[in-house]
Amino acid sequence: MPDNPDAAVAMARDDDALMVAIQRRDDGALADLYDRYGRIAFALAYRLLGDSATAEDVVQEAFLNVWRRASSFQPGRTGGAKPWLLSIVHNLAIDRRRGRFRREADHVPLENIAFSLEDDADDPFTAVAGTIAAEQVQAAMTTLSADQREAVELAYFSGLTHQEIAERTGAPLGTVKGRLRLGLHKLRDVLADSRGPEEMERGTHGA
Amino acid sequence: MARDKRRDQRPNAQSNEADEQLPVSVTNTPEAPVPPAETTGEETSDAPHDAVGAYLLDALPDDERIAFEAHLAECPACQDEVRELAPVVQVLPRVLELDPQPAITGDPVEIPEPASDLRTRILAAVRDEQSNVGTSLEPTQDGAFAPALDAQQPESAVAIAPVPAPTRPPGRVRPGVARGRSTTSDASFWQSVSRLDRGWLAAAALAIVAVGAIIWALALQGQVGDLKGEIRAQNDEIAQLRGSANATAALLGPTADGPSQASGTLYYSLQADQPPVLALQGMTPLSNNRVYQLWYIKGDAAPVPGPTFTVNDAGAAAVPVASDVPTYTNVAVTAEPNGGSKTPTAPILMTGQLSGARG
Repeated sequence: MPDNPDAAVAMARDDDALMVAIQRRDDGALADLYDRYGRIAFALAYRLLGDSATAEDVVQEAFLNVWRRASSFQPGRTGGAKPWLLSIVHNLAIDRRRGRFRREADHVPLENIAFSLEDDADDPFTAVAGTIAAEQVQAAMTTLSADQREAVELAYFSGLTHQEIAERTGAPLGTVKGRLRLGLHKLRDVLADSRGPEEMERGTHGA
Repeated sequence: MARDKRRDQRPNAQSNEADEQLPVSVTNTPEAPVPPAETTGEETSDAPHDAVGAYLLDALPDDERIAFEAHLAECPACQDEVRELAPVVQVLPRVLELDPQPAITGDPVEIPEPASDLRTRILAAVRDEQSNVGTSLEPTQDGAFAPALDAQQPESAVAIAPVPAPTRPPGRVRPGVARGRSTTSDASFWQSVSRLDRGWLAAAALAIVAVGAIIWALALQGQVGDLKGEIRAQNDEIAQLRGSANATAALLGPTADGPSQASGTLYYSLQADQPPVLALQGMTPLSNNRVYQLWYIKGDAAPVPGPTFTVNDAGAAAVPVASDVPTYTNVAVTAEPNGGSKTPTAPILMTGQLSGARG
């Protein structure tokens, strides 16, 4: 049963208020942010890295990044502080996995980039992105083909490159790229449909 | 780099994917099916658009990511696709909130609790940052900062008087601009930078990742205006800059003294009328009396001073560099007193090798 969307919106607004406080150098607000999302940030880092100490390091670094770059966060953004924090965690964890230096600007959420290119208030996904519940995302994942889902999960939650996914699954590289691309499109279509994933599956896309 | 190359335009016709179609918005765009041949470096004719999913999921290795971003800068169809799909990636981690954890491909399943002192450690680190301020040198009466060419600036600065970190209004981004006496020859360039519209730059700073440093650099060349408009209007110029085989890039990375998250890409074109651009990210914003400076190094010769610059709040900057940069073997970045120095007075923070190789 999906979360109350109003509650999700209220939470996002609270998060924005926290971010404003963090921008004003209120470290208690950063502590609040940790209390809210430290656990899930750790869970994501742990999945990508496989050990607690490194995952904790990454979480610490992520919160420091949030602190340093709070001024570049824009309140009212769809989705808000949680996706921003988690994308920072994800990027740092992948850096660690691949042992490489990397642009910190990558940690700017892609959602901000996307929306900065063009403000797309009519986009159906935008309308619901802030209220999507965890159960909905999980349900949407089940609408992907097994191959697409495997590829997307290996990429996102295990941090594999497309080459590594190809080797692991035995699929050609181009096929992996296609699965990642189509998988994301499928997820978007399902999640953007406010009727919900079950009804969507009976709808246009089949499979 | 040898990679498995696909032959087909579409994913393999496996039975469970045979009837999957690309979204209408993509297939109906005139540019989408066949990318112009001159924009491909190592990729074959089918490739550029297909990488968008891998790109957004961070499943591309560095060199392919750079190549894709260069492609993205000149492909409106891919820009649309990035805009559509990026938010999807943002919501993926929400499944981790579920209890019990759903089955996710790969291991592990059992996620432990983080250490109970992690919260304390984070707050302690943040408070360390709060109290770490640089030496405060007052500007001279005329507003210029006298470069301390002879003084050795210690790396760990001692605060003369503790100054609280300045608060910034949300969403404000400072462009990377030079302070004091710039060592570049083009003074009017820097004047035009300071007049650029801030709101536009806020969008630009965030867009730098998606569309690459090229857009940023072209926009910094005094072309005030809407970033979207600039992307469309400058597509030809961007393509020209990237060129078929003329635009190459060199990667910069941090030294032991530099910020571990920092990186840079020097995009340089061998065509004379396009200035090379150094795009940096992950740099630490400096205190008001210091600037970053780029150095050109040829073999064992003394470093030649290059432009000074600052980074914005996000730690990013795009710096036009001397057009003869390909004649050097390395570039380096140090933090110098305002106005720059004639010779480096501080440890090298970033370094990159320019051997003409890309990536």
